[in-house]
Amino acid sequence: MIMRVLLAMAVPVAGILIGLLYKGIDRILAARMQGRVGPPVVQPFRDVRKLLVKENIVPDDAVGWLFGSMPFIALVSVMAILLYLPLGVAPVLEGYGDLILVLYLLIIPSLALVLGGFASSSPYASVGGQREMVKMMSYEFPLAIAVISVAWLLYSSGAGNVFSLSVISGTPVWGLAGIPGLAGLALIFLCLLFVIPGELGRVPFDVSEADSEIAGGIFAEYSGRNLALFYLADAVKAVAMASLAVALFLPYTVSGIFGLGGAAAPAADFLFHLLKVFLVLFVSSTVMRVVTGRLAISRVVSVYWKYPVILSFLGLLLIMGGTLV
Amino acid sequence: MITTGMGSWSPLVFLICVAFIAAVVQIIRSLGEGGFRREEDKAEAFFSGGKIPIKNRVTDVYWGFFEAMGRYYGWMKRIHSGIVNDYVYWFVLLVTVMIGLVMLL
Repeated sequence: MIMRVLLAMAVPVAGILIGLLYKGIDRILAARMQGRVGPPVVQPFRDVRKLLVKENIVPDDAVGWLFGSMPFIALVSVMAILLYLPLGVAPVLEGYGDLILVLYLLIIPSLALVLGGFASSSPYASVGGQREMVKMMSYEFPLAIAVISVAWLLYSSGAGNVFSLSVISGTPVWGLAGIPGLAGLALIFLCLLFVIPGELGRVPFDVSEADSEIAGGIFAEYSGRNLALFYLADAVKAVAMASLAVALFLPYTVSGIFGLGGAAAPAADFLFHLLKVFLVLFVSSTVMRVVTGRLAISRVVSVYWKYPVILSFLGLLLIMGGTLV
Repeated sequence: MITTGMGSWSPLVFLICVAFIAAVVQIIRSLGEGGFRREEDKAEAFFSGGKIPIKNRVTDVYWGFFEAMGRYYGWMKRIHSGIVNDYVYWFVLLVTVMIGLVMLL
């Protein structure tokens, strides 16, 4: 119990550090792919420190309490998600919440962005808020299908609580499906990788900030510590989203392979989990933003609702067909 | 603990953890500058150097929702015709779809 309490205190803070570290790595990798050197890996930490010493400007016409509280709520909610996710080891709050709760919690940071934008009194931020909302409705559908597919596969294989993240991470889905099911899972995993940049507001789905179109959109009026909190929420959300993808599709550990025991086993599994998180983010975020340009908002909706929805439905049908045959 | 048969959630544990995390976030927040030095136009919302033509203090935070989802709300308003027969048609259609899904699963 004491260990759990200590982990509940350490994991959210570690999430910030890991998120900022990946932001640094992401910027270096993206720079190298574009033939640049890139900033030092600690640049995101410096960015946060810089933002904290900047003035915290609140527009005269903004709804002050809403404007100021949204960055706070975004960071708190996204840090709380980490407590329910398996990070190479069982979730810290194992048994106290499940995958459905995680999906709801993932919506809160995006809603905080929307409300923060609307409360800014800026036309650019209002447009950004609307775009964020439309984007949310676009990517939630394929995300829900991905989750339902995994739950369905676990349910049909006789697993107990199919929405428990311990059950999900303890039962790799690739071993449960036949050949059609494997093809279906591969399609759904691909769709989930496509959802991640949308969730994180990265190129090509950065329509809600779009510096060159709407001057930063939602963040147009944010500065100083409020912007720092949104920046940190974004870093932690990347870790949470990638951890969710890893828990659903790549929940493998290494401690058993190397015959590790004692404290070395969870430490090795945690480090292996971080490696998988970085790989997922590298493919779905870093590579994606380097090789693509921003989509128009109308394209975002059609892109998400056409291809990932159709593909993930097809994947679900293949999985269901595989279990019924 | 709230359980649904397929899932579970403990609001008390959630609230305790959120309270701790909120304290951590508040510490980070308190490290930053709290306000700003007032200068001319500094607290004006940015509008590419111009004045915002229609000043609209955001009192209705749902405005953006209705604006962005205008087509959806328009469609919803149209199907809410107030005629009982229409509602019965929708009910029958929805129940048919749900029975179909249950039979499929």
